[in-house]
Amino acid sequence: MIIETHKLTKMYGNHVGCQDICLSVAEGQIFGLLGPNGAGKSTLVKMLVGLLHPSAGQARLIGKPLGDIGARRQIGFLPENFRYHEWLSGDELLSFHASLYGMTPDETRRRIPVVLDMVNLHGIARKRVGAFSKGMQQRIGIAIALLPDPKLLFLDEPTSALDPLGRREVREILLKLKEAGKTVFLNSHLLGEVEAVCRDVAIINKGRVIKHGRMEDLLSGSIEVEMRVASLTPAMEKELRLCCRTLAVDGPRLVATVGVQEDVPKLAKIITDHGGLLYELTPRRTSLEELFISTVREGEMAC
Amino acid sequence: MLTIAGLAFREVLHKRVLVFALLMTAAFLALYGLALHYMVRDLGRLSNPLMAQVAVTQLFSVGLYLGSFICSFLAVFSAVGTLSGEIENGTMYAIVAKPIHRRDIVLGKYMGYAAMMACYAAVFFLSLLGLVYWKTNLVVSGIVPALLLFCLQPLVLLSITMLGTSVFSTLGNGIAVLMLWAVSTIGGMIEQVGTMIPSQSLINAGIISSLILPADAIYRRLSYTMLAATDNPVNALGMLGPFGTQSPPSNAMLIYTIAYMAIALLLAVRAFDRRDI
Repeated sequence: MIIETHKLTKMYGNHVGCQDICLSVAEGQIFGLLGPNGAGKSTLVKMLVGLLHPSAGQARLIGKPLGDIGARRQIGFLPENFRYHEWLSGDELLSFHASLYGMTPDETRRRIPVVLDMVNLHGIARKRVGAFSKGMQQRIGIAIALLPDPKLLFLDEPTSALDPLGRREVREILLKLKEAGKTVFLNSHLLGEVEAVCRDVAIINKGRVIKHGRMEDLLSGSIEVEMRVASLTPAMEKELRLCCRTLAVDGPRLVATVGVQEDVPKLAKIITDHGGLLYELTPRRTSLEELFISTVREGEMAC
Repeated sequence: MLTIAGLAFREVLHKRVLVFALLMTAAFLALYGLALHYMVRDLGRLSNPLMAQVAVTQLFSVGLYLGSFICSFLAVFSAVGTLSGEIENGTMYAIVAKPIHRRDIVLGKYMGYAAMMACYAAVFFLSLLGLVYWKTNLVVSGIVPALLLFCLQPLVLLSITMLGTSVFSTLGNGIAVLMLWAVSTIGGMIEQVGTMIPSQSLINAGIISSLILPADAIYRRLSYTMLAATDNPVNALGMLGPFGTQSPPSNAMLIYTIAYMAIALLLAVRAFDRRDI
């Protein structure tokens, strides 16, 4: 596991920032951390990258305890609400951060064009960072995080200031990093983005992880199937009800809920076996957004 | 640490505070030179050469005092928000997460600002001294130790400012350091008055203020080093007034000052190390 946390806790006086966070993130994947505003996402990321001191618990990154300098050389971090030294030029800013990573001048010269190319940022070498647009600042922030060719990358809201095209480019960068065997810890509000790229996700609310696991497992809890059927018979309906968890019949429109994907063709077979005419069958997997909302609401009702 | 020091050094160059300070310094030196010029011209008419020498020494003391005042303010304003401000605006996030110790950030910034302040103070001191010598032919003693003391004074304020910025907000730090500086300055003047009266209570008040912040003590020591040669009784008259030195701080006070700076920096490192960013 490239990230392991055990009962990691951050308290601000009596207020809970994060409590008893136990996470395991396997290497070589994009991991998504989700949660409503104020849930403790940034607190967790800040603890992992060394900005906040945990109140209790332990964590290991790349096999080393939190704060290990050797491990940090292999970690890239794009903070949320960051700002860079506005009076530096793009080239000076990248060189400064490369120097903080302990990169040699040769490495720095070689790496800067590579990362700028990765984030599609050109012609900024002599431009002052203060004159960058928000999108350009975000891109150079990602470029800085990529400078040491990190094994583990923490991205806190990486697409917050980007237009749709920029978001797509970031998604492509993330997928390329995954292909290259890197691990990305992605903290994002954009559920569609997380759903498109992440293998594992954790949902955090009120400082606690309330769901954690593989995306496909979390989303495979139920599949909603909408059908349009002619010649519906009571026997057909009875057999359909045996096959699915719920079935709503509204004239020719049927909405069934099944537990696993294999049940979907079974529904079609029951209908045709009973002489029904199947005009339409649309399976709809629970979206991450639905899962997120229901999980957060369940958590709030439980409180 | 050197990366951070280099950035801090360049940052001061980019900040308007240095440009403003340089402009004001040039304006000050021009006005000061003009005052010296007219004073020398008018003193030539005096029949009493003793009076002329006292006046020149007094004006040189004023120049030194204002110089140390400008250097101190520049040190405070350059570094007042160097940690707290960068935490407040989010610049520090990407730096603290890098593979460096937090102490390197504090000490690197201190080194960068200290190098800049020392250069500025040295240029100011030598310009002032050159101007006075050119216009008045005033010969002073102990130029090298005085130069070192002149450069040391802003570093004392810089070290306490670094401690403040690692603990307080930018505004809070600015207020706290300037109040300490005021205590030190007023205390230094009270101590000189106490020596003239003489009053041990006033002297003690001055010593306590120097222990709280030994900035004015450094000025008194450098002023005494340059202008209070024991073989020249005229200088004793020149040392009268709020900018002169009747009671020079001891070597123990100099050692205390060095220890004070080291402890302030150690506390700054410790506070920043424990701070949540």
